[in-house]
Amino acid sequence: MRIEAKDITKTFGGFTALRAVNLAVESGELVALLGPSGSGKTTLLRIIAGLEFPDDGAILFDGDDASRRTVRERNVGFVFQHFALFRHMTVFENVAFGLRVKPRTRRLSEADIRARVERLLDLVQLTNFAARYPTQLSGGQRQRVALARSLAVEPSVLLLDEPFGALDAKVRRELRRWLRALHEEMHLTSVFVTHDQDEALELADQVAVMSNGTIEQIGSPQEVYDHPASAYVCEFLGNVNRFDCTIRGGVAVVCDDEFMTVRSPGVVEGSAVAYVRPHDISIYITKAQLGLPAIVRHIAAAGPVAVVELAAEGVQGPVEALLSRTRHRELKLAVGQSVFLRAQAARIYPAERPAVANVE
Amino acid sequence: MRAASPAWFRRPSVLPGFGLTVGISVFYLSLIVLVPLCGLFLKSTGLGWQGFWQAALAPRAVAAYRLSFGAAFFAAAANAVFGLLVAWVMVRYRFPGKRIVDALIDLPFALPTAVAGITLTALYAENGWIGALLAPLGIKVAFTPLGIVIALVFIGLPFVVRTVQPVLQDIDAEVEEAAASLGAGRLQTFRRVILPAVFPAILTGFALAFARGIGEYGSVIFIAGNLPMVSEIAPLLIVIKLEQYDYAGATAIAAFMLLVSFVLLFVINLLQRWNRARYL
Repeated sequence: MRIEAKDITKTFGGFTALRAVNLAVESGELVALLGPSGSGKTTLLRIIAGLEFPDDGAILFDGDDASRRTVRERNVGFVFQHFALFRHMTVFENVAFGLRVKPRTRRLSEADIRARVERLLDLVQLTNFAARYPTQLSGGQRQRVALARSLAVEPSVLLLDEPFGALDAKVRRELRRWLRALHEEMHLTSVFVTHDQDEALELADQVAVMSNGTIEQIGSPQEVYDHPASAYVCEFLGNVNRFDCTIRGGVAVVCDDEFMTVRSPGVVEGSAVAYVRPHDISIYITKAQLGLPAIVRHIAAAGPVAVVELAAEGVQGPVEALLSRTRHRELKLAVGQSVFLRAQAARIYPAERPAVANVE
Repeated sequence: MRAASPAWFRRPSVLPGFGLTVGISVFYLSLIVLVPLCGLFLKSTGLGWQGFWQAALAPRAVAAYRLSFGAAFFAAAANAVFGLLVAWVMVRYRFPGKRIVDALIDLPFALPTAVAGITLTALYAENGWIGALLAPLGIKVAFTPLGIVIALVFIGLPFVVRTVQPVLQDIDAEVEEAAASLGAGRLQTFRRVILPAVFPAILTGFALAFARGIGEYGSVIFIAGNLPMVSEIAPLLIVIKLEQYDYAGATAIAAFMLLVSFVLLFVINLLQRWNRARYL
């Protein structure tokens, strides 16, 4: 089912949670709403579900206005961050709940309910836990029960509010992969909320980056990662080094040291902010034409790439650079060594103004 | 010799003073509860086996037990229903004057019970504000068993509200939302999700209100009318016996009440355990 949110505005008291938000989710897509807490992502999800009603705007399901329908009538599956399982029911009864509360005329027979619940428990790999109570399960198992419960009523949309938020890192990664596989199998239109950019980028077909009650950018994970529409998106999508610099004669200058040439015509002269991903920073032992002096602070060489942490004058906080193993062997870096940095690529925004220039 | 104490009795713990705290608890309980109760039973043995049962099961005493336990039961049951409602309102809604209502709920705890009894009697007597309205309908409250139930409802309300309230507070609104998203109506959500979750607390509140009702004296004697065989509660009968210097007879009734109360509370406790063991 196609979901469309049109000009959704929602305020809580004096706080504006959403301002005129538009979002379209194509049928069968898995969309992530990504943003920090307070950005309005959960409110938007709850409005789509019908757990919250917008002050203004409409929710369309397959083109039909669903704004006035309650959560009961929308036929959505909703998975809560803290599972919201029924404590006094067994796993089996939790999953069967949605089937048992149907009006008698539309209720399945006891045998059919049993068959469907068993199929779902098989799907979430909890067949052996049917008779347990939720308190006897681990976090990951509970979330799978919650998922099975929401799928039992055959929803046309699956909505997940920080589904992995309350789980530890390993379970999280497992469950993430498992959810992706499930989605590929069922092609159920799904929206999930997260504040973890890795989760959004790995799992979703489309990522909507939110801040302050608006959607900053919507696109495929690669699109938002490679072409962030604003400094905010760039900073939020993880691991960037921020350089406050001045553009002078087509060269980015940090504290009188020339850092990189800016060839792109779009860049305005004057003070600017350059965002450089760790893998776009090169380290040199000697200064060529360009180079920002820096001192090696820490090297973590265990892993597919070496992570080098440096301190550079005029830059707030540490600078992170990723080196391939070969390059790392060539350089023979040591902690405390003086080196020079150069950016191979950067996103440059005029200081304190949202604008755009992609410099490669 | 530490090794001599059985393993179940003393488990290693980060909290110190297991022996000390248990010792004090046992001593304290003995002093406050056990010794007086033993004294009670000892005193009643003065009658001999036959005499004891004769005093304890005299028709007037039996009628008093029936009234005391019956009225306490109905009052506790009424409180279980309406206390749940009050607790629900206090937890789920915000309204002006909520703090005042919150304080009002505790008032029956603090008010001298005689004051409550006199006030209720004045209200429900045939010439009182409420009694005058009910009299044309043929409903007599004051000086009947119904009046006793009303007094016990008044006394018992805070017990249910204050035990159910924190449990209701603990139920996440998300659980209700989950039920609604699965297609459950309000009534279904209440019956299948909320009620089972708060049921143990309701049962506890019921037990407390029931126990309080059995022992209540001050408020009841004013509204009851105290007719032997009709509206005379067991605690009053005990007082009457005492005033007639029939100490053994009074203790026989008291001991019998104690036994019945203990058995009832024990059964309620078992019910609680059974209910809790299922999912905790």
